[in-house]
Amino acid sequence: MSGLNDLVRKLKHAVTGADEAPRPAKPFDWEPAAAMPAPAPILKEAPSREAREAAAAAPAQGWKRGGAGATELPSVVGGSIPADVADFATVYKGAAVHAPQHEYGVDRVAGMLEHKSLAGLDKSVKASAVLAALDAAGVSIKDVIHDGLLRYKALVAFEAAKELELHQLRPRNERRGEELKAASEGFRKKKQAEIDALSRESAAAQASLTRLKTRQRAEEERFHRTLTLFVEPLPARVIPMPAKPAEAAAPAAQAPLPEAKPELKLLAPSKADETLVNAPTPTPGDATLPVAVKPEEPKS
Amino acid sequence: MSRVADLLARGVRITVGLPAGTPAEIPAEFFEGETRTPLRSEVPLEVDEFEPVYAEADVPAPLRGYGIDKMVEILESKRLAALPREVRIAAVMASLEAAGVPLQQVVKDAALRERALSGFVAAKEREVEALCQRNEARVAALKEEIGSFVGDKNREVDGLEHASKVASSAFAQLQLRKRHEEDRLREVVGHFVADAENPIPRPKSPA
Repeated sequence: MSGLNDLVRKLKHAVTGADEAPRPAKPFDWEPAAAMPAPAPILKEAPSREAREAAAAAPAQGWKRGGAGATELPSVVGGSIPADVADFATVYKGAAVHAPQHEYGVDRVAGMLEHKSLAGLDKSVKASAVLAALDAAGVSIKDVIHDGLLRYKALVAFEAAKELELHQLRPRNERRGEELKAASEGFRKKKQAEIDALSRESAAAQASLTRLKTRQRAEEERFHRTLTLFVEPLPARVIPMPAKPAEAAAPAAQAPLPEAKPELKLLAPSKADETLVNAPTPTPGDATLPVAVKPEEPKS
Repeated sequence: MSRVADLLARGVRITVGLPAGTPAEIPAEFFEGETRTPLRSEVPLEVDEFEPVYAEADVPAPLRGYGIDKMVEILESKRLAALPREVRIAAVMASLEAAGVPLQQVVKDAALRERALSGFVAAKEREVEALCQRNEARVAALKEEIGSFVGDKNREVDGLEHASKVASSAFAQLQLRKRHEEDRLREVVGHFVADAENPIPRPKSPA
């Protein structure tokens, strides 16, 4: 906070010119604020009644105006003007710094000094020439210098205001950043807890199912162990199965199989097979052969 | 297929002595029907006993109390524990005969209970699978929510940091331009006043 207070003090000093005090005495009676319109509060600091009265009485031109509010500048030194303002004219306008009514301000004099007719001349010669021109126009050089000083003060105030803004912006953004990070972390934790609970629920259900299957196997084993003391499964039935049509037609049309594949013999079923199978005996032209198959599994 | 279902699938032949006139074979069709297999079971997964499972599947009570459980109980009786296998079997058959319960009914009771249990496990498998799928979908949605929320906040934080950097940079540029403007003003005024008397001070060199 002390840094901020220093900055505010610096801004006030820049505006009021309080830091000008230690400077040595000058031949000019600088009273910049006297030329300004009604002063507005600096950093929400209400101006004194005297200052308001003095400012109201002060015309926009004419800088030699004494009074209590004579050292104050208007507060409009940066509020709505961005730091990267394209032209300082905006800053001067915002600070209500206008060229004197006779229009011989520091900018015009700068133009006169840089005039091509004075190019290459000595600095003092240029100054004399400009002073002569100002005399001819009935303008005092003090007005020009005062205009320059006002602009300088407006610049200092603008810089201080922007520095203050920056010093306020950084911690504000940092605070907001921390808030956002905390909110983000809180949200993540909350949702992660929900994810963990769901994962636990799934894992518990899987474990329960595994236990149930184990118990089911044990129960079935108990049944099976008991039943096999009293019963046994019936043997697999052997049922006739039709041969493939191509194979069925083959014996009549093709060469005899024993010659083609001597290791394979197609034999008529024996007597025992007949009783077991309970099927008609296949003839050479018959397409049925005894095949042992498992019956269909019962529907569960 | 369970071992019991496999045993009974093709029907069974009774291997112990039966009263005269009792058929020695039980066809597979004898074990069919009479129970229902619900798609969704109301019995909890962590059931202590299987009785509620059998009840839910409408497994009928054993004839005169002589079902597979009773048979197991007799076989595992302490009185018969030391006796040979044949003697224990004979004791069971004697009990059944005395109670007037045919062995076929006991076998059928076992078949029905096994089928009810299998149906129950299958239903619970479906439930667990559905639960896991539902939870996985919810977890995916939650992860997406986290990503979206955190992403938004991170972007905002980045924006704030960027704004601070831009403001710092703009202020540094302002200081530079201000020094140039001060130089210009001081130089103009300096034409008319001595350097020591110039009301516009020399710009401070940047820190």
